[in-house]
Formats: sequence, C-alpha cells, structure tokens
Amino acid sequence: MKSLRNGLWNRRFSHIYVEEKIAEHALVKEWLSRLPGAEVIKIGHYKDVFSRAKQSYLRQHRSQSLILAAKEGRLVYDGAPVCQDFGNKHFYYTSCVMNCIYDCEYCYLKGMYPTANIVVFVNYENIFSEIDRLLEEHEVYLCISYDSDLLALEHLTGLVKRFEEFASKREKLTIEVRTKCASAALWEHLEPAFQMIYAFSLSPEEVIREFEHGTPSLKERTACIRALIDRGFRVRLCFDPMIYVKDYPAVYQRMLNTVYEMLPLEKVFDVSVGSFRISKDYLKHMRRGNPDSAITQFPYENENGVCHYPKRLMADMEQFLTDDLQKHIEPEKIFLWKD
Amino acid sequence: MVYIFCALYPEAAPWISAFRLKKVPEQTKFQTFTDGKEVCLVITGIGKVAAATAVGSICTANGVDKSDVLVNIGICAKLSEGTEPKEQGKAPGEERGSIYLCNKLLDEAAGKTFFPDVLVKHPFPEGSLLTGDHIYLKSDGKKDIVAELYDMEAAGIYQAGAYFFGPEQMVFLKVVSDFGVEAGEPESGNSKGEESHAKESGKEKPQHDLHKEKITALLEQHKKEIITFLKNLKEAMEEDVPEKKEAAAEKEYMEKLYIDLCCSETMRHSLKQLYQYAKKAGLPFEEKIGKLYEQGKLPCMVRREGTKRIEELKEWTLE
Ligand code: SF4
Repeated sequence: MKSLRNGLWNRRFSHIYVEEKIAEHALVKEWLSRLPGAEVIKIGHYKDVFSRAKQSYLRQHRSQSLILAAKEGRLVYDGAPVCQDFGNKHFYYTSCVMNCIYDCEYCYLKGMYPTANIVVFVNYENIFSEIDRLLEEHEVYLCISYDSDLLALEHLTGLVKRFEEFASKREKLTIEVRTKCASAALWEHLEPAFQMIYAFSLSPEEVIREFEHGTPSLKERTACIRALIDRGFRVRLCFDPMIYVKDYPAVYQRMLNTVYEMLPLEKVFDVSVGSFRISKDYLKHMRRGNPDSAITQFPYENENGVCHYPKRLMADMEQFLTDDLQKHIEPEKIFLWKD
Repeated sequence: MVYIFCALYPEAAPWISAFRLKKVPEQTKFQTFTDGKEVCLVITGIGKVAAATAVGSICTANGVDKSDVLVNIGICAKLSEGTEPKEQGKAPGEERGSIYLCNKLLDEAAGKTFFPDVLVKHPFPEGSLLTGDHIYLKSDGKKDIVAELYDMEAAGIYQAGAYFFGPEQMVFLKVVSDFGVEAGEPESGNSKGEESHAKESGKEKPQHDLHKEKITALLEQHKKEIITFLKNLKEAMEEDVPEKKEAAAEKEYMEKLYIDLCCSETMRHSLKQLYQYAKKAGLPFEEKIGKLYEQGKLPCMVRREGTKRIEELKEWTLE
C-alpha cells in the first residue's frame, strides 16, 4: 500500500546502524560518506536491530534503515531447491546484502525476514576467500543477488564491481547477478566479463505497476538490456516468477511483443520460465505482514510445503510462455523451473 | 489512541492542558487522564518497575492496535556535559532544556539495548539513553561512554510496551534537566528522587513548588513541536490500518458468511483469504455471494456443502 502522505516518513537510510566492531572499517567510512546527514547509531550485533519482534515490514519499507555489519559463520551456501540451477552441478549462493530497496509484493524476503531494513555486510573479502577454497575443488556457479537486488544498491556499495573484478580473474567461476535495475549510469562502471551473467527479471507492465513497487518499467528494463547486450554483457532473461492476473495470456503476450521488438534474442545467454511458488511458511508470514495483497491472498495449492498456483493454471501459464518463446529462441536455451 | 506515559505530574501537566484531558476516577493505581477518544495519559511514578507496570496495566485494560502509539515524555540527565554538545550552537552545560528523541535505550541493570524505530520525521536531535535504577551521580563516572542521556523509566517502558506495540509505534522524548548530582547534594538530581521516595514511603513529602514548575516549564517550551510530531506520528500509523467502522462492517459480513457456510476454522481462513483476494483483484465478491443466496445455494445446511461452495468460489476467482 502506498503512503498517502510520503512527507510524513523519513527518507530511506536516514538512520544507519553500525556494528561497533566495524565502525572503523574503511568500507563503512566510504559508505557513510555517501549518505551525509544520516543518523548513525552504534549497535552490538546486527540482529539486535534486524531481529526485533513485531516489526512492520510495510511501515519500515517507507523509511528503510541501513544496517552495516560483518557476516559470521558460513558465507557461501548450497543452492536452494526452489531455485533454478541452470544445469550447474556446483551451485551456490551468498548474500552480502539482506533485503531490497524495491518492494515486490511476491518477494520471498518478506516471508523470510522479520524486517524491511537492509543489512549490508562489509566483509566481502571473507566471501572471496571461501569461494577460492571451493574453486580449488571444482567449478563454482554462484548466485550473489538472491536475498536482495544487489545492483539496485550498487551506487552505494560498489559490491557488484568488486565481484566482477574478482570473477574476471577466475576462469572456473560463474556468477549470476539477478536484477531489475535499469539505471544507465550504474551500468557504465561495470565491464562485460565472461564469468558474469546478469539475469534480468521481466514482467508485464501491468504486473510491474501492480506488484513490483519502485522497480523500473518493462521499457526501461528492455532498453537497458539492449544496451548491455550491445556492449557484450552476458544477459539472462527471467520470466520468473510469472504472476497470475486476469487475462494473463493477453497481458503476457504484450510483454513478449515488447521483448521481441527490443531485444536481439539470439544474443541472449538463456531464458528461465517459472510461475510463482513459495514456501508455505514464508507465505504465512507474508499474509500476516501484508494481508491486503492479491499476491499473498491468492488461494494457492500447497504441495509438500511449497505453495503454487493450481496445477492446471501453473502448467497453462508456463506452457503459454515457453510455446511462444520457442518461436524466437532455441529450446535448449529455455529453462523451465521444475521441483 | 496516543498513550502518553510520564513519571511525574509536572512532566504530564503540559499535555493534560494541551489535550484537555480529564482524570479517570476509576483508575486508582496510576493517575490516568484522557479525552475519551484520542489521548490517554498515565502517570507511572518513578523507576523502571513502576513505569513497566503502568504500561502493562493500562494497555491490557484498554487494548492496543496497530494505529496506536506509545509516547514516553519526561526529563533526564545529560551524561556528557563537558564533551561535544549535541545541539548545534549550544555550549556544553547550556543544554538544560534541550530535547532529544531517543533512538537507542540501554537498560543498565539488565545490560540490554533496545531500538525504537524512527520512521516518522521529527524536528528533534536524536540521542541514546541509559535507564538506571538510581539517580545519576556525577561521581558514577563514565556513563557517557555508553549513552548521552540518563533516566529511570524509558527502558522499562519499552520492554513492557513491546508486548503491545511494534518498535515503530514507540517514541521516547527526553528534555535535559540536569547533569547528574554531586554525591550528598540534597535536592534535584534527575529531579525525581524526592518524589519517588515520598511515594515509596507512602508519605506525602511537601514538594518544592518552584521545582515542579521548573520541570513543567522545561517541557512546556517544546510543546508546539511535540504536539505537531504526535499528530504526524498518529497520522502515519493510521495510514495502513482500515477505519475501525469499515473493519467492523467487514467483520460482521464475514461472520454471517462463516455461519452460512458452516465453516470450520480452516474453512474460515480460506474464505477470508478468498474475500481479501477478490477485493484486491477487483472481483465482485459480494455480488457473487448475493447470487448464491438468490440461487438458494446459501445458506448451507451441512459443512460438506459449505466446502463445496468454497471450492466453487476458488474456481470463480480464476474464471
Ligand atoms: S527486486 Fe527481487 S529482491 Fe527486490 S523486492 Fe523484488 S523480488 Fe525481492
């Protein structure tokens, strides 16, 4: 729900919580210098703020705070079963950032985290060391933008650039960066690297306007992708999650037409398709946090703890999209999500 | 409702007059004042335990919803006299009367820290506040390392309030009254010692009138900004909460439907969810239900029939 009077709320990152132990970290100082005027509050551990009881995701999203912390414990995880592995055997993910400045109503982060505040971990170098250890054993396919849209925060953190520089020196490493970000200025500072795949989520304009609050329009995304392909970036198109709307065939067809018109599909690295699905526990949490949403309240089917659209609808939606895509792109390049 | 908690009457006086609050005679444990609709002010007495008890008892009795706010307003000591002044243009020691909105509360005895969310714009400087169990003595030493301000209630109010309010619904406003007491100094201190003792011992110790007036005056000077801020805060908290009337009508409508569909607990959930989905997706739910009544498909006589109707409604949402 949008604020009636945005003027009441503090601007995003008006408050920054910093773990005492990293207060003197060079990166923290750099990031703080990019947010002048913010109130900086020292904390012991990021969970003291992040994990408080009874936080309101909806309200916090109107005035998100930033939490700067050092990540502890395991830094690189095995890929989750609900995620597409694109045929990669050694599939991992890591999160330098938790939560997102965008506000998609279907986002599982709303079900996973108790807050809308954003945590950024400063110790990316420790993640790099862990990746290097894994690379000694085998190739690594790593997703770095699952628990946030990392690129949407790039102007602040510069973390994608750091991953790009790291990956470009490691042949056996492939990094996927999921994004909806279409800021031209931001992409200027990134270079095409063979190891980096930029996976753009695409949705019909109607879905973007209704459910992907604060994200760039379909036109902006496709224009950005076009420019990136021209510069030699490897781009994946993700029609995932597909969201059910009335007249979805017409709505999704309009989106596809824009895509065909704007993008040279033969130059796209690959494509993924999948209808919306989510763990039952996350959905429960999302329903509580945002009861006033057609996404959270849809009567999903629960199959072994994963909620999805009724089977027939799910199959119809995915079939519709893949059938049409196959007319424009080789079937081997189309990955359909299967559980 | 805006719940205002103050430790002492002199801290409460500006708000009692500004909001034209009347004493609630039935409340005998904690002096309570209200306008009967928007504001409820409670005088908690001194200290964490008294303050937490007042919050727990009033909130349990009145009930709290997502649009309510808890505000703790009072005086405090400034711990860092002689260090960098927080408010621009004020020399150290000149901060008597300065107001702070607390973004971090430390419970000295428990060693715990709490963070009220600061989501709504306000005109006050922010600071951290240490809540201790006794008057702050200058000789206590380096408390300014952990916080800038010192009081005897806020952390208790937060902890009790957290049972009822989210962290964005709680606000702590403190006005500096002193900089700690010299050991053996008889009066003042965080300005509350005498009254506290008087209450505990059950004796009505005569209060120094000027002293009380001073406390009220310290708060009074911030009255305008505080009232504007509280209005904004309340407005912000009401944005995503449906009007009570609307919510009540909806509840009544659904309750009838649950009965007419012979709903079990699970069926109630599904039906409520379907209703909310239809509302958001722009589907004419009530019209559809009306038709079911016309067709004699509602009310249902047995639960099995109700289950069937809910399945039909599910399919209808996808048509
Ligand atoms: S862009 Fe991605 S991470 Fe961000 S809110 Fe949307 S779905 Fe979630």
